[in-house]
Amino acid sequence: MKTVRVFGLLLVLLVAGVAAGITVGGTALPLEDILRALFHPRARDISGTLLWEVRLPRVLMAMVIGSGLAGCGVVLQAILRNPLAEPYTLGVSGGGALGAVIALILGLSGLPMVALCFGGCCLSMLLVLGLAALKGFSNTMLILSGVILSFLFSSVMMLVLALSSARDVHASVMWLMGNLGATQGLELKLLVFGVLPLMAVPVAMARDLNVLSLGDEQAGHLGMDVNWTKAALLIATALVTGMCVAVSGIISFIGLVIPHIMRRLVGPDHHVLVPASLIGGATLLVLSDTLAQALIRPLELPVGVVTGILGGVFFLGLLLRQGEVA
Amino acid sequence: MMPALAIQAARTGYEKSVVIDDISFAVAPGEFLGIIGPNGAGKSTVFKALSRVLPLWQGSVAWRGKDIRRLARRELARHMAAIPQFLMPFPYSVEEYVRMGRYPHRGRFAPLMSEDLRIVREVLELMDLAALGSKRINTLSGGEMQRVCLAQALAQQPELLLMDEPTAHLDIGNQVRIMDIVKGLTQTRGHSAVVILHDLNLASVYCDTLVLMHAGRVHCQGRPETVLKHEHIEAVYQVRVDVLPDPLTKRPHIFLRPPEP
Repeated sequence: MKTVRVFGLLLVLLVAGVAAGITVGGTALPLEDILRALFHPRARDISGTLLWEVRLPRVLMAMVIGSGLAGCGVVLQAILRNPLAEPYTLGVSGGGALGAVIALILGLSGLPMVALCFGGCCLSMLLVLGLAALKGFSNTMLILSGVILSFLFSSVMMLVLALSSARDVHASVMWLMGNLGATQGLELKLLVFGVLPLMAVPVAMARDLNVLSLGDEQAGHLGMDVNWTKAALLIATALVTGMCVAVSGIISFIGLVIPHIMRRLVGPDHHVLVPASLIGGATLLVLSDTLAQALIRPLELPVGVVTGILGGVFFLGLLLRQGEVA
Repeated sequence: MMPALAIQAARTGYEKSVVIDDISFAVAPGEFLGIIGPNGAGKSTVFKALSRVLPLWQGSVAWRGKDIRRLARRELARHMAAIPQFLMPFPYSVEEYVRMGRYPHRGRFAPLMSEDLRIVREVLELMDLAALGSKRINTLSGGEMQRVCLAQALAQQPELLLMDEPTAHLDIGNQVRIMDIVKGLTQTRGHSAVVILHDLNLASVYCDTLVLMHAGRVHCQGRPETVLKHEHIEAVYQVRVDVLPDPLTKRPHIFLRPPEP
């Protein structure tokens, strides 16, 4: 069974990624210290604190965000029937980025920043869904409103950046490239209680995703209430994307590339594709984040750069080996 | 007898322009009805009106006397399967694709039952696709793909099949094969079929009733020998033809008579 082998491989990679994430990190911890800290969670020496309060939360965040973005990518590619669709296609990230940049320039952090960024995401989601609903909720209208609103929001963001100081611009650019460093309790709670439950949506609606991917007309013929189904799925993906962006900035490429890679490996049936993508996304982001911390120690690379390079190279290889993308 | 599906004085179109107007016809259980007419006559718009893709501006479409807008989409899909012109989706396997035909029979979060899988298997057998179950649909030939689409529709266990040019781009062997399958379903199971066709002679051979459309209206309808008369065809298609009865079956056959050079 090819599918079973792929899932086995993915799980092994994920476990390896988690192990690397907690041992390598910003400074390598000796294995015995890690094992001791793992089995004595009460003993808070330096390695214990590092493990329980820095490394493990960060690995968990990377897993949830990676899964979330990959899951959203699968859903959007199925709904929009477009191979270029990804979590940011419908403009959710544009509003989020604007909100985050404004927060950075105002010197906000923590809850106010997360709230402003998530608010921006929700605003752009509502605008896109509203615009598309005016015109019969067609995929073309969804994509066009998403792209146009992205441009609008990013132009406003550029304007804000143009008027601000070099230090703020640098902080904003670093944020835009994606970062998993913010491991405060707040962010982790948002992910665990916000994103994780919503990821059950594409798993439970795998059959709907299959039918929707045949196109709105055929889905209607098969008895689906297409607009409601699409709206429910789009709102779920926008919320997940918004929360991920609010916590970690704009981590590119996972949501685009993981669904394609997994479709190559396990086929397009969403009953299998969705779980494979959730695991694959978690794996890629954990590995990328470990590399981002380890490559130029003591500095840290923006994790979005690493996912872009890793995912891009791997996907190009797959593309050249197998020919046509579908 | 109450018709299976009836469209009554229907008018609809796109944006503000009327595409079809005053369309009325009905199909009985077991009847094979063909819709013919030139490009742009409104055949595909009638298809969309019948399958509830396009809302009507006037008139109604009724399934066994009940307005289809009053039926839940899921329920309508258990009575009526529509096969539009095919768009290639993701490369699903044949079996995965056909399974989607069970969508209207199961609740959103309910898994497929062994009964569903049995029906899928039967349909694959019937369409002679059992050996191709795990093949990816993007690797199939045109004739195989058309049978896969038909198999998905039959997995819905419908009483009526609605098809938009099922024989387009097929060779005559596959055209006849598809039409034989549909004809067989009308005769043995009492299914109704509403099929848009371009090939008038194919329509003459297989259909019990023809609806000839012209410029968004029904030009005439009835048995093939009353519809396929040379005056109707010349008026609608703007070509010179002769219509002669098939020497064996007596069904009308159309001969093109292009102008002499």
